[in-house]
Amino acid sequence: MKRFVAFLVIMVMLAAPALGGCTKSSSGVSQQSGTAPQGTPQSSTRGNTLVIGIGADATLLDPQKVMNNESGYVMGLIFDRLVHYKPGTTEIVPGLAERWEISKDGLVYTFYLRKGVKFHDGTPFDAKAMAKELDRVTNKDNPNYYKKTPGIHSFADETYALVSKVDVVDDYTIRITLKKPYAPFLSDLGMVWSGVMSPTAVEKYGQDSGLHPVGTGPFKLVEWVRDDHITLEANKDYWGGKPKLDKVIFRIIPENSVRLMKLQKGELDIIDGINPDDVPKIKADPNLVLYEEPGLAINGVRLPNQVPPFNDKRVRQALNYAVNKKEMDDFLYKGLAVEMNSPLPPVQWGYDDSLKGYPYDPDKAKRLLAEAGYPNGFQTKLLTYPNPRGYNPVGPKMAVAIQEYLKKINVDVKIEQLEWGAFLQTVRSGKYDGMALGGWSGDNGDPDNFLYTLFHSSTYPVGNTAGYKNPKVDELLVKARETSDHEERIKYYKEAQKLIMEDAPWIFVNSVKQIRAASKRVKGFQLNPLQMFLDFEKVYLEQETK
Amino acid sequence: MLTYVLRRFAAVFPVLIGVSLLVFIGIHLIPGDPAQILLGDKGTPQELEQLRRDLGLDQPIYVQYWRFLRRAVTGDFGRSLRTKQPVWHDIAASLPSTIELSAAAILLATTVAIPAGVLVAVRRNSILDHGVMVAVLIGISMPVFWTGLLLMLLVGVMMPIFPLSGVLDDGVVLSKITGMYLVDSLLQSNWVAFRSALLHLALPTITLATIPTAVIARMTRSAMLEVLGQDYIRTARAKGLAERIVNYRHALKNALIPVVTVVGLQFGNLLSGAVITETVFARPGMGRLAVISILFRDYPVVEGVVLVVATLFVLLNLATDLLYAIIDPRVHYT
Repeated sequence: MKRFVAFLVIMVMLAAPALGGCTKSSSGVSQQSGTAPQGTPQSSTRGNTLVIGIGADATLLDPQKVMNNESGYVMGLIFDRLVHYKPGTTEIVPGLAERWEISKDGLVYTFYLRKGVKFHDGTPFDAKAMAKELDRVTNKDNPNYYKKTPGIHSFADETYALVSKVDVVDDYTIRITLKKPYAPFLSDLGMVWSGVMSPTAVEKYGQDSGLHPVGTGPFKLVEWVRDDHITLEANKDYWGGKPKLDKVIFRIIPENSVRLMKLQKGELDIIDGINPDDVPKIKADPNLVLYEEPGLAINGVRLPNQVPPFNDKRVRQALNYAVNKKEMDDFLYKGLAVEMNSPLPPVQWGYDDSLKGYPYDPDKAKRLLAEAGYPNGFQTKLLTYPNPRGYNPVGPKMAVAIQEYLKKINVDVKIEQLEWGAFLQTVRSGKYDGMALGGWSGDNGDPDNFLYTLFHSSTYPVGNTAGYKNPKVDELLVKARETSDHEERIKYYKEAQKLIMEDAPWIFVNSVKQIRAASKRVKGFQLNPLQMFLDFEKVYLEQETK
Repeated sequence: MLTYVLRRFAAVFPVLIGVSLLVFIGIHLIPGDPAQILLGDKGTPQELEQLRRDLGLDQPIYVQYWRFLRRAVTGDFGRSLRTKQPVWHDIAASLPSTIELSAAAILLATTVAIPAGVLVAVRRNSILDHGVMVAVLIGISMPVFWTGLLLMLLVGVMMPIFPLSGVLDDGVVLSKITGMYLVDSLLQSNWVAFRSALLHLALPTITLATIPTAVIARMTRSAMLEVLGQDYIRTARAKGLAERIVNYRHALKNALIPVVTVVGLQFGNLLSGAVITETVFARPGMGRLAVISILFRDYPVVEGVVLVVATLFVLLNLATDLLYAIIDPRVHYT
């Protein structure tokens, strides 16, 4: 009897952790809505639901509170912005604002808002609602100030940093005044991170707004199971047209190879994050379509411009001539990248396609090194990170390739590797005296986002990790920020690009293509340079004919 | 016996404090700053400083630890730096899935391994014995992620019987009670969900069970061999008892003690992670939460997970020890 009781006690103890997990019913983790179940996965039994496979979960779904890509993927379907990007580009077109005017001094933006738009919770969208949204990011005394929860950091910090006041002119007209002219402001407003949330929802959920996104977009949130999936359903009253799909589900699957297997099996319709090695497999599969487009990203090696021998322009140029970018693109990147001839990627407006860049010329490289006083080369180190990045899908392999090329001109490179967090900390400390892999993915589709962030001397050491300093470039970049005249800005940026290429603060390697793979049944889907899922009201699934 | 159990329970707390201190120091020693990771490629030094202040990361480490300890005693583990949700919330959401998977794996492992171990011990040095031991060697040697991907490819893709990842099919409706899909669907007599959950559980369970099966089988075999060599076994046979009774009623029961130890330890191992299996099969469990949190330097969540795992491990050890008292009447605890 005693032994039996003891046995029961043990069983209870083993069961205790399981029971402990059950009583805490949390929001959004219960019912899974849906229709018919499925045994063997057939996409047709899923009905009119599109499933997208992504590698990590969103963190929060309030555009003002978050910056990571995965959150952006989902928010692109839930929220609209004042302005949108023309599909497939980063050109600004009307969004929630039908048209706008910018004052001559670049300080006053007047937006004429679209009429008849409602948030998912029924709240009407108008100038007052927009003003409330803007107040929550500019007014520290607002009870729902977006930074009230500690640790919030988002693009809102930069987008609205220069806003000095907001005026509601009438029901559908809102006026935003800036402290200084800042031409990229419109591009900032077009990002998914500038999505407009319902003020009713903000008041209702307060600090938990990140878990209860309510926008005006083509889809609304139904369910979010952390690290597993996010289910959205169509907003039938969407002003841009009723979405053709009933539901969109984002499935979180960390492994690239598993995502691809599921796509091939028909369990997923679109996947993000593809190993370049898998591209031939996708191209060969008659059921799949590979979507590719030049990416809004640059990839290279950032040189420590203040540290000898890198402080000599000839040395930096020599390193650029020494790397065979075309060979890297063909073999390492499997044809999924284009050479950089400019610090801007080709798909960015303002890109100067007349620049020639640094063709592969190891002899010239050696000559330049000799001129600079290093006829026998020199030794240095190259810091790399271990994982693939969006702008560099082959990760540390790039460092090995660079090492090989530089060896041929007698530059001896020792590769050091640090985990991503440590890598960032080291590179941005301003104290690392070796080379380091560098890259940038565009946030808002404005050239300022690349050039000012990476090459203006004021952003050293965090943005301008190379320590590059050219007063003429600084001047051009500031001028380009201050004028709203599009053509004038392009002129300044072209001049700046030329100077930066001349100075070679980085080894400019390539600009990677953005690739996604989808089932051939997916129609109306288009990539955009910012890698977000946009214009999803147009996407539909072709039904299989049985 | 009761005093023994109470004493063991009381000993849990010093263990937890020690473990939490070690992990706290450990994760803070890893280079890489959570604020930096949250900002990613963007952000100025001023923003970084502000973020560190907001997250309380600018305090000296012993202050941070003291704050953490003070709150932990009241059950408040703080907020995740990544999701901004309370830590217990994230852990409670992920724990049931890990328990379900680990329990299924250990069940499979013991069901296969113990009979196998007994069988080959009884038929020692036969072809069956050598065959099984080779299989065991292979099982222990295969890395979990490889086993998982291989199973996925063979069973999941080439013969589309089992789903490749996740926990339930997209269209299935299931209310959450315990958070363990098999259990919940049984409790609600939802056979559609049960079938879906079972199919999704199959491949990860087999993957995760591979190593424990091998270890337990080997242990069972060697424990059985040792017992079978004992005098009392010879006596039992001399008494004329059937071979089956000798093997199971007498030999196995005595061989179980070391086997129970191993099973307990293996279960502890499985609970404390199943990290790779959960990542490969995209199951939202605690192991995966731990990895994501470490990569994000999400200190509060890492601490929370470690404390939960340490508690489970300690309880499991206690359960194992108490189980001895049941199996072996010679064992007394005071």
